[in-house]
Amino acid sequence: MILAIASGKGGTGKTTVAVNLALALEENEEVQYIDCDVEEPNAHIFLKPDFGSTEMASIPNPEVDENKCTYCGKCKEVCSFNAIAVFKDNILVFSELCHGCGSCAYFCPEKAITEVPRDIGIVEKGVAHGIDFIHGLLNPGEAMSPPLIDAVKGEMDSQKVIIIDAPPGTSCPVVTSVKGADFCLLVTEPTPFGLNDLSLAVQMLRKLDIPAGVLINRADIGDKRVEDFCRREGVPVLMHIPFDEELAKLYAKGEPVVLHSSIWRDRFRGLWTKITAASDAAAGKETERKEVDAG
Amino acid sequence: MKIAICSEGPGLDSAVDRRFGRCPHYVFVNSEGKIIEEAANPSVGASGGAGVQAAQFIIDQGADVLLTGNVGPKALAALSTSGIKIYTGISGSVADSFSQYQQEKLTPITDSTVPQHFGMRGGGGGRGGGRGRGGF
Repeated sequence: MILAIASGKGGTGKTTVAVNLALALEENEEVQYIDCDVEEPNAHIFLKPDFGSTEMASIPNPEVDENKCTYCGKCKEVCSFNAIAVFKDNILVFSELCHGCGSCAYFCPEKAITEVPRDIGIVEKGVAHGIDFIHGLLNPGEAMSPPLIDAVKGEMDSQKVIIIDAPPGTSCPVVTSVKGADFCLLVTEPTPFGLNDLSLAVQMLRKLDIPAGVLINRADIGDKRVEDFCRREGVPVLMHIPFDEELAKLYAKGEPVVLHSSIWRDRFRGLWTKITAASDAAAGKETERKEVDAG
Repeated sequence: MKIAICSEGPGLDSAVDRRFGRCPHYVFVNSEGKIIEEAANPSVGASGGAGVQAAQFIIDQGADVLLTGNVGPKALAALSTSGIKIYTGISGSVADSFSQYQQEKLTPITDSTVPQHFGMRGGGGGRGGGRGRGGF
């Protein structure tokens, strides 16, 4: 089971939920925690893993052999990101624009382009409370986070329960993080801001064909419009977490609540039961749909 | 002589656009200020690298001189390979900016006048003003 935990809006409690869920499951399951928020990873603050290994992550960038280059401009034509400019007797590569797709090297008729790795960050692996922990750290100022996210996800072990902690938003880094998940839990809050970004995230997941459920954090403040939205859109609400002083105090100390409260450990186990049920129901519907499509 | 001017639209009366990579239009005039060519900027909607693509376009059009408001570091790196002369500080209409060029009121530059991504923010926050050294 690959569970992604995401949200449109930042600061809704994705990491808090992901960490507590992982810890609640750890007793009975082999759990892997994948922090894909490579721009600002923070699950390690809760989980305090012992990191055993560090690997560089890189993307391939073109290097041009000007002895072979005829300045034909084919590489520039096939580059979708304007990372190469070609003039009559000159060629320029703008590494920070390069997405590492390799098209320029592939299409170069003179074979003048070779791909050389450019470091974009690191992947760290470790263990925390019996949980297999992996995260990525993007180099400051680096724009290309998806290749690092892919490198982090490359460490996934399909034999385990995989919990992916996604970055906020609905753009490339989030799509890269949640792609391939069996189910996505969207953490939101009952405010106009939470609702707006939740509806964007739901649209994104529909495009990716990933079934979703919602967790409403700070559930007893704000209004009912998130609940109404979920009912209308047929997205199940799987858990409510109240706006609670004790929870806030533990959070402020960087402490996961399930390590301090068996009540909350049971609640997160209950959430897992609901997630697997919702995921199975969605998979069932999918099979049904395919059977209908097949005639 | 082919002079490229960054503008909001076609014609000598169009207002100039002070961005290089993301101005909507380029008007090309000769040394008498007569229009010889006009073109929509192909990189105005580029998700990234607009300055690089625009530089490629301007050089491919065979421009000898570029009149703009600002130019960023990547665009300048690309433009610099061609020997094109770059002047910043245009204002008013396309015709006005040509007069400013003729009267040597513009700043010739060899260094970028704004940080990268400047044109995406719709102005504001840049260094502005140019850092002319002359000597072209």
